[in-house]
Amino acid sequence: MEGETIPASLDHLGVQAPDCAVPDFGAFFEANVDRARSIAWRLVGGNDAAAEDVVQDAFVKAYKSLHKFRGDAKLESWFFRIVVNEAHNHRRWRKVREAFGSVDAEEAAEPAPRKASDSLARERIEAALGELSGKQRDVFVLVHMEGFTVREAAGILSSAEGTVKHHLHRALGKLRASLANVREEILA
Amino acid sequence: MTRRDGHEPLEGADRELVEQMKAAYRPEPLTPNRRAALRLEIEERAQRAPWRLRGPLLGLATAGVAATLAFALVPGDSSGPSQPEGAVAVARAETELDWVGEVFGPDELGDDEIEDALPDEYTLIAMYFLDEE
Repeated sequence: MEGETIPASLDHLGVQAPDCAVPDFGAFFEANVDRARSIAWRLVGGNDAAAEDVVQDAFVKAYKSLHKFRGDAKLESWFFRIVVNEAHNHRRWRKVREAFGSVDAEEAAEPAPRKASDSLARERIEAALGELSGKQRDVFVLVHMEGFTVREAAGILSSAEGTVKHHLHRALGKLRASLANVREEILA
Repeated sequence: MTRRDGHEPLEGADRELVEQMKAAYRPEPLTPNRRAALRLEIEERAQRAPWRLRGPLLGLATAGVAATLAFALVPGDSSGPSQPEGAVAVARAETELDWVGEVFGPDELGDDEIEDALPDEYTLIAMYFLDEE
């Protein structure tokens, strides 16, 4: 990149050091990009390009809004909340574009699968996840697929822990039923 | 029951199902080149500060959607539809507005979730606009 790059330190933003120190943007990016991308990918329906758009938007928004971070939550939780919200925004606007028939072929296309069985399994899982409500999908992805605790997921989603558990329970029940007949395909 | 470390324990078939899903439904890892490119794109966007334009653009887009909806709702005959025509227009408008409910409605929720959906929706909207400042 020509010209200025993002300064290594965030001190110039006047940010109070949060509980978890943020040494520099590069380290923050490297520490969180994989998980952010995985969350986004699983929330936007397994589309690589869409997931990267969400991740980009989230990092830029986090960088711009860092001065608003109050330090009363973990920085990572705050950032992943932005990722989840950006994924929500993406899903909403995608529906709008679909309604107007303006989702282009590249965006609609699924990324090339590694093998046919992967594609089939992914389609089945995506269909099953698609039957969940937005919140059920959020909590299932965060807790069971991404390994957050219920408390962390509640923080990310600004929900009560009991609400998260409720959605989690219902999500698992629905997925158990949806995927009951296709588990052999997933295993293949 | 939640474990002491805060994780939700899964047993037997449920644990197996989730492990299978995690293995089958995950993105390909970022290649080093793509990773570097992604970081560069983010840095460039952060430096460009396009967000100042986003507020007005969002306003224009909202106005466009509102105008489209208004156009869809106005009956074609300016002299006013007769009773049957009015009924048809209403039915058509309801059909055309189905997608609006899908998008801006209670976020793909089941009936049992609507009651706790509204506050979160407001939270999301508030956060979205506050982040634009």
